[in-house]
Amino acid sequence: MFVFSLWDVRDYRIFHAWTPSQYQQTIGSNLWRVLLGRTLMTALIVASIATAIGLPLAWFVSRRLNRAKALALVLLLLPLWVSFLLRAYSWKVILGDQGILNTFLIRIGVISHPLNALLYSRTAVVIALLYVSIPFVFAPIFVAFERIPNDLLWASRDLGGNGLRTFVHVAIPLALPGIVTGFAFSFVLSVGDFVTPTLVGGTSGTMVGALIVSQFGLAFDWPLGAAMALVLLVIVLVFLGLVRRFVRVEATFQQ
Amino acid sequence: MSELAQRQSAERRVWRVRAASSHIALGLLALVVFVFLYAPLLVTALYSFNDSTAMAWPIHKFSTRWYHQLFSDSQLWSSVEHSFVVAVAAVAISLVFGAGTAIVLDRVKVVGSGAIAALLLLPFVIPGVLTGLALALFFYWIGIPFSLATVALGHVTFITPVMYFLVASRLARTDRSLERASMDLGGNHLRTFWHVTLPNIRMALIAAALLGITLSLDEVIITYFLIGTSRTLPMEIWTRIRFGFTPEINAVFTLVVTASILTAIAAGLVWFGTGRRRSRLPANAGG
Repeated sequence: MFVFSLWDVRDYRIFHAWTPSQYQQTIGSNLWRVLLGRTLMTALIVASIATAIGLPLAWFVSRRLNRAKALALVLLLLPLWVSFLLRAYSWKVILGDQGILNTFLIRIGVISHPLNALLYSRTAVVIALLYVSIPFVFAPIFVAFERIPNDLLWASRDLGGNGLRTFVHVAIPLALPGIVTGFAFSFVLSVGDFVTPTLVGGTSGTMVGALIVSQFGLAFDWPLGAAMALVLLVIVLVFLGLVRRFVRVEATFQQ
Repeated sequence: MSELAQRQSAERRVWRVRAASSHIALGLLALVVFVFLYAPLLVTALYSFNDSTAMAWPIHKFSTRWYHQLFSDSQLWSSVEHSFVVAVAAVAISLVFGAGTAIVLDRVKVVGSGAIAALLLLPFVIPGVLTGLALALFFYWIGIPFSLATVALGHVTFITPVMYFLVASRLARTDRSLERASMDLGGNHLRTFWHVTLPNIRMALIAAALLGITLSLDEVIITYFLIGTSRTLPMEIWTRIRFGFTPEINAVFTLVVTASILTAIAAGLVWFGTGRRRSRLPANAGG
């Protein structure tokens, strides 16, 4: 709760000059616009792919598995508690120039030179963020599917709907809050991440998170960093506001 | 056999084939996801026993030299110590905040309790960069120097929601008549809380504390903004892997992951184990 009050505090400490120049500088900056565009695109791509994977996966675990269900559930949720740093770092190791994938591919003769494009690219960032996102997307969708009464699905079958039609016309609309929540988790997670892009993205994969952080480290321009952060915050809040029009996010946590 | 019946049985066969093929497709997808999620972890664990400094394939010689090196790395151990200090402090404070709010909101139906719950959730859904930055500026403004204490306070912001939701959902399932019975039998508020309410949510508190500790031990983003001169373990790792890598890190990660997975499993067992027992409670509530 008290955190919330801090959002205002930020303005009058750092902007003692009370000028909008930081915002002008932020919005006018080419670098910022490029990075913001890239960040939002990357986050949207990651969230979309994660949802596209999480949706059928959650359906499979929720409705098709019986005995293996608990095990599958534990295996899918366990990575949530695995070191966040490690999850980005391990991709650096796998995709690196002298990394496992490159040396392996050379070994089996698929390629003759290491593929530089693997690491330090947007693709690497998308893969690593996807890796972090999938459990976050899976969880709320799974919960949503679990709550659908079997009767509704049987009714659809009885009325002649096949598996796919039941899934598309009955299951998905009923699970929509969970799906939207999962998408939102993944999006927000990806937008603000600076660790993953820094580790696996290189310069071509940098995102706004890293830019904001650099204002506090190397550049030492706190007010500018704060202005950037505030713009990002507004974007995230608008996004969450849109999401909340669909669902109550906190309902996902309640039983 | 009529034409209709024939057509129906043919349709049914097609339907069954489709169902089976969708089952196989979904199963394959699940398999791919499992490999995707676990291969990197296994690779890291495997390479922590790699004798060479190059992370190349195949591994020529296995050894435990990185683990030996790790155990004599005093800088690393002091960062582990800092991490635990932060985790314990953050969890203790969050426990009071989160559980306190959950209990109060469960009892008192204030106007806007939904808004309070949403507000509590906010630090959980807002990117860590923003929370970290806002806190850093706040501490700077009121003149508190960055140290492990500010890191612990930063961690409180995202552990408190976890505490709140776990305790609130457990409270929603407990039977309030037990408390009323205690009050009727002459227990005052404090005694009722201590002997009735607390035992009811004890396991939820333990599970939440365990999860809070794993979350705190792992946090980098908020920590990054609030850290002083003494580093926590993830910050120590972060500074080391940021430019290039040392094979020692593989060994550190292997140990950290093993520990956090075991803690998460323990928390899960506590949570689900007691959840199941509670549902059977009414039968032998007298004991």
